[in-house]
Amino acid sequence: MSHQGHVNAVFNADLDRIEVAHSSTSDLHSTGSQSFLTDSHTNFRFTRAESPDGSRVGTPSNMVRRWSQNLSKFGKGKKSIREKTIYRLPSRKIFQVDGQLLAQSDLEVDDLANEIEQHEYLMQDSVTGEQLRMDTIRALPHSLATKRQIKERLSVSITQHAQQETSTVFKRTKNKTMKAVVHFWNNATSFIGGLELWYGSMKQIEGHFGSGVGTYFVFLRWLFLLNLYLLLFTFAFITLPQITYNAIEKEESTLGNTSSDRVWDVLTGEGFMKHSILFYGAYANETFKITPPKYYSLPHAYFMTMLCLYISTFVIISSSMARSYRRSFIETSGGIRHMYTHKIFCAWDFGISNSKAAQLKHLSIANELREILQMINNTEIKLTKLQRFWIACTRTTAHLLVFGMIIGLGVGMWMLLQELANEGDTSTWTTLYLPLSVNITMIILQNVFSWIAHMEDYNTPQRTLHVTLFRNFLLEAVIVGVLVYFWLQKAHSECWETSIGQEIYRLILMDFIISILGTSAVQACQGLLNLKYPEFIQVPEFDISRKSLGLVYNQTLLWVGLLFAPMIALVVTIKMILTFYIKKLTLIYFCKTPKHVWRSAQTQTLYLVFSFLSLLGVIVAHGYIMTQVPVSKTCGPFRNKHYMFQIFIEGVLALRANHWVWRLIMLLARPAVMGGILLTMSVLVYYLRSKSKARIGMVKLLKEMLYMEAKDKEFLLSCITRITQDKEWLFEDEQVKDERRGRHNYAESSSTWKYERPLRNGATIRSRRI
Amino acid sequence: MGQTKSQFSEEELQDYEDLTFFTKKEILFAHKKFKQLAPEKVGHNKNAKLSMNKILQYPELRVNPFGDRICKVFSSSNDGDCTFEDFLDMMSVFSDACPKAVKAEHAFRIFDFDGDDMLGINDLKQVIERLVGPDNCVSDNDIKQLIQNILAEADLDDDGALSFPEFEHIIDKSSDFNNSFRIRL
Repeated sequence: MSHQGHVNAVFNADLDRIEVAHSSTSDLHSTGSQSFLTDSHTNFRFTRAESPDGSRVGTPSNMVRRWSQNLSKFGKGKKSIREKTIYRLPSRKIFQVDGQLLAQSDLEVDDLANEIEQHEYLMQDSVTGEQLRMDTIRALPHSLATKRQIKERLSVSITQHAQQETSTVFKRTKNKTMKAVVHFWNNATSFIGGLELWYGSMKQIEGHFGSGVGTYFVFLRWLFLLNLYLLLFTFAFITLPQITYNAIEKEESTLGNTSSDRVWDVLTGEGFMKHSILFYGAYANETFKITPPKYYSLPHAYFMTMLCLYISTFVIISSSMARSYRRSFIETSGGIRHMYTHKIFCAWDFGISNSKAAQLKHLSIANELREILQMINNTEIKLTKLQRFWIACTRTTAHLLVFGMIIGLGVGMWMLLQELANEGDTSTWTTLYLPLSVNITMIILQNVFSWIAHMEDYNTPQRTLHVTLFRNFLLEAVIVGVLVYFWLQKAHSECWETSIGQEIYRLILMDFIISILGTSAVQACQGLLNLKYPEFIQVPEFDISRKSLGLVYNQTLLWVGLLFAPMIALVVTIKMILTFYIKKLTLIYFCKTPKHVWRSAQTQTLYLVFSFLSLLGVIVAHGYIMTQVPVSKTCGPFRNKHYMFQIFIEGVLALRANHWVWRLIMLLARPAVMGGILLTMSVLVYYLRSKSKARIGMVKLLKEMLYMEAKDKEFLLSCITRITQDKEWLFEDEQVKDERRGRHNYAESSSTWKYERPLRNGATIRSRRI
Repeated sequence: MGQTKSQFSEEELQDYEDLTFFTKKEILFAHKKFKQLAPEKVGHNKNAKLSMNKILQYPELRVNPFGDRICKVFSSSNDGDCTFEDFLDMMSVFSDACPKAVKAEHAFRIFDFDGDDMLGINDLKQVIERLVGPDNCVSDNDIKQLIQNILAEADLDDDGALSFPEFEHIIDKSSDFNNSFRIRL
């Protein structure tokens, strides 16, 4: 600050906030304070990225030209220098069009409009031009009034412009129709956009518990919409034709005897449910006549719908995973480097609207800051070798223990499955043994895992969370894997597809009853007991991570089961609606926000990765089933085929054996071609990797440069301070001394800008080095 | 909503839609919310100026430690009093559709208490104190240590304060900023 005090003396009392720095890299073509100003702003953004077309727009010389133009405009005004400069300061008055810097103040609507007018593509009197113009104006960080003025000015100049231009009738009508189409499109999208699902509930949840808890519900809603999409297609192309067929053919399904039986049947999927359209077995191997020349072949529809659904879901999941990964890991470099600043500037959740939640938030921020401070102090104390050895030992033991437990569970499940299969009894209770035991062991093991992670004592809660999440995911993957493998071993019994569908149905239903109804009931009891005996029982915490992983598990089951039970999508959709409301109610009435500040974005990505891995596994398994496992001969749409995929090969591709599509597929399936593709991809990956490495190096260099700039600034400031203190040029003496030492050799004298030259040389040397 | 609709002409709505990140429906909804703050006043004049205390009745702003700063930043008269247009502006910046750069710009102004276009040590201190809240005290020494670490991490040109480009750089690298700097209408 003391430096700046002296700066004032040189220039003007009004100049108290000017950064006199950064004046090394560019040509200083004029003297005095103005050129100082010029530079201090141009350099601020030299780290700016490239423009969309890849060329570097904001080169320093360009910027200087622009700024000097602006400043000459300023000179004519009657504003004080402070006014001129304060609005030049970078935070407020700069925005970008196409990578170029523009600047203005609230009073300078004209300037801003002029700047926009200079861009040809923004000033076209066409629909796209207007769209772009509006986008630019909308993204200005200014008040609505300013934006409106700019908009008006631009519309005036555009009409003037348009009048000068002679336009043909064709052009005008084209413009008009385009406008009408865009208008209609905008209205339609705004109508659809207004229909955000569960908007009020989301606002309530985020207002009361913050956006961390909100992410669970956002994830739930996303999966719900995905399942709705699955349901829509399976119903339209598979179930609806079957229903109409049944109605026409008057085929009565065998019904259960009494009403009490029916309840059990719904629970277990046996009895009348077994032959309902829920499962694979009920679908006919028929081709229906719609109108005589047109036919609807159910087996083909079944196969193609499933194929398309699995592929499209895979595309959706992988693309959203990639997007999320890019946003939260690549673009932000993992968020590791800016730990402290993020914890300050992104700490408050602006969506909180409830004073109790706000108090909790204050408390959690305070705790987190204390934790950080402790960490800063702790890292200074080095751990002894013995301590480190001890930590390594406990962690390895913990990992081994967890893996042992998971393997043990897998083996146990296998034995249980064998046992149940040998009994061969399909009475009500035995069918429920498996799903019940799976669910209960899962809950128990999850609790054990979080206890183990707690004992392991990781440095950060984030780390603990990730380790526990990974273990829980492994547990679920093992469970589902063992089940699928076991069923495939038994895949020669009569109508085995339906049996798998039934098992999945039971698992999904039991998961709902135990993991959702059960845990919610326990939490509700806990919450109620807390009201009576607050000293003994604590209010339950809403465990976002475990619940989100529960959603992933549920989704995996759906994906496994969809092939064998098309209408299971309906069951899961209903389950998810119920889950949403049950969870919302327990959350609002009985739970409290998690103590730790929740870093949502990265964990969210992790769930997507888990979903992706599950789906990948399921698709591989289904690919195996479709091509290698013989279908049952007595039921289902594929009953006269050996394998499911034959319908595809025979029906679609073999229409013409020599068709070019077929030949293309054969060509692509050759090992040489596959190898070539893989090789190309590897080369591409290598290329991108080395490119990113080079970029990282460049960033490091730029940072170094920035640091050097700072040193330059300091040097300049100290020089100015010296000059202003002494009020005279003591420079001559020093110059003489310097010359004697042989350091510098100045040709001229009596100008401040002598200081500039060595610096500039320094800068050029540096830039050459780079 | 029929009542609110009568207060705006189609052109006005189109104008607002062009200049903010909202659709017409959302603009009407925002006006409904604005009206709830002072039903009679806004009923008379749809663009009435409400005092800062009235604006701070809005649930999200009431509990926000930076509520007064937000009002001041968005107020066209710079004293915290807001008209409907100012309110709409505010909600537009806090909406999901608003790009990160615009959000960062406003966040910077919210955190810049003394208005010198730099987040200096005093600004950072105030930010931390407000975040921690009045009930939980963190000692001066701790705050000092925190600020030191923040500057060491983010102050690239080493001038003892965060300028806007430095701040924007931080925000750009943060994946959680968009989630936290958001108010659902």
